[in-house]
Amino acid sequence: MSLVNFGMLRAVLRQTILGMVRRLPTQWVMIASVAAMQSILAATILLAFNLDRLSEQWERGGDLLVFLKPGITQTRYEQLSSQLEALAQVKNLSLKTPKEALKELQESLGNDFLGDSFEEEVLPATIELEFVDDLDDPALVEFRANLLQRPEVDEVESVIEGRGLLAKLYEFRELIAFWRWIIGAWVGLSVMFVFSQFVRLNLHQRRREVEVLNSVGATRFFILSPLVIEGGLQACIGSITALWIVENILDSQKVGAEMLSELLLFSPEPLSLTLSLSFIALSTSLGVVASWRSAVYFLTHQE
Amino acid sequence: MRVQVFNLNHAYLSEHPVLSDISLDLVPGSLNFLIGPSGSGKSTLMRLLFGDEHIQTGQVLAGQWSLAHLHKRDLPYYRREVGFIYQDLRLLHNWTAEDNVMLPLEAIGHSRKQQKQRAHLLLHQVGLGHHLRTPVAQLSGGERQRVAIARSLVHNPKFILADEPTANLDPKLSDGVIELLNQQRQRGVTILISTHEHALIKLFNCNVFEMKTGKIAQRFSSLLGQKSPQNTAGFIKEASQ
Repeated sequence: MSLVNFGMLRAVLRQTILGMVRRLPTQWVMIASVAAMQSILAATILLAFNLDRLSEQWERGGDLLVFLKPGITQTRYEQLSSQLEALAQVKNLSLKTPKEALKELQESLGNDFLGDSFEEEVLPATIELEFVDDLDDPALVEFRANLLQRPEVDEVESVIEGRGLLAKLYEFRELIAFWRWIIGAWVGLSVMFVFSQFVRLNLHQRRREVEVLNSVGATRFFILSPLVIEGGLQACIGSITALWIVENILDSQKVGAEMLSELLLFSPEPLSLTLSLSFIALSTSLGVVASWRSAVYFLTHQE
Repeated sequence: MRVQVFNLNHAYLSEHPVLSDISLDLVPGSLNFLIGPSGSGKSTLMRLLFGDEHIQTGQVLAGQWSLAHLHKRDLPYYRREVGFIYQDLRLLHNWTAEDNVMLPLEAIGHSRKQQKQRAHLLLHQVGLGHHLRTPVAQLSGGERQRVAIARSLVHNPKFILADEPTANLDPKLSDGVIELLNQQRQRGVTILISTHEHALIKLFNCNVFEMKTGKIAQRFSSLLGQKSPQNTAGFIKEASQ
């Protein structure tokens, strides 16, 4: 005896749609509750996602950023570069002249922001140093920074430890990542709980329907499937709504985002397509599992 | 469908048996009445025959099905061969008459077109052709009864169980309901009706099983009101009440 045939599948889909349409207000309440909970998770993921991007962007900078005094000749730059390379195991060294530094700043902030009124030498020349991986821990970097700031290296005006700032950002990112899991687990459990209660309520409302279905020879598959599909659909719509809410909030904060962009040379972006799809898929799975568990529990105990 | 019951016993509390040593043989195409006072075990027997209750001791053979060994997953397939008319009708009141009648076919996976054709035919047969799209909540008691009967017949069951199908109906409607069920005998359907209304028995060729305190106290055949000699006295007494 085959449990599933195409006629049966059509009937299951029809029952799902009819079941949802017959209880539209309940559907809205359910979707709104799920969307509200998932918005919190989506916002956390969005924050973590943008922090990842920010740290990745900053990681491209060196371990040490050496600001040089003005008026250094090209020959001296080259000598200094050789000296710095010899200082320790340097993986990458990049020299940026005042002209290049200004050009980069203009590109990142837009020409309109700075205008053309600046002199070419307004910014200091910089040398970015990136050390080999084993030697890039903060203590060693700090040691080298101190070496570079000795009075005898008189071309060096100041040194910024890029990794120090980055380390703070990493700490914050780790914190968010940790809370992302906690919030994720909390939202996941809440969604499961809400679905379980909702399915029980739904089944309680539909107990007569379930009784009748049992009495007319409906299989467990036929009775369960519409409930499970309904749960999955609600979770799916809820998660899409949550993403939409979060992206709209991000959009509505344009001014803040622009300020951030000017300050950090970084503009926050919405979640990537892959992350969004994963979020929707995970939420839908949660809805399906929670609905299935509750429906099975209800039917087993009803029998 | 031939339905045989062998030495069936059933108890809700172990010391209080509801059914004791029940044996029946319902042949295909027969009309059978189960009579007896409230609490005599009629409804329990009906539920056992429908698979609503697990068989504790004894055996029930219904066509190819052995109900004592029926697995839970096979129960829906057995029920597709059985039509049950509940005393409380078990209709979905916010659904239309048509949707209620189509439900057994929907559960089996028939196409929408087949469902509609069959449901319309049955609803016309029970005189509700003009109420196809009417929600059951808006129908009268008699009309609801007929919707329930149409639903129990829509999937061409081989065995029909009716628990007090004429309760709360006036005599004319009651006769009509039983007549409608009686017509199913022409296609070899076995019918078992539980009723308090003994007057109905006089109108049909049928077998009657009288239950008292969980046992079959009497069994006899009625040929359009002519009782078989061995049980006349008991039948006349009951039917005249």
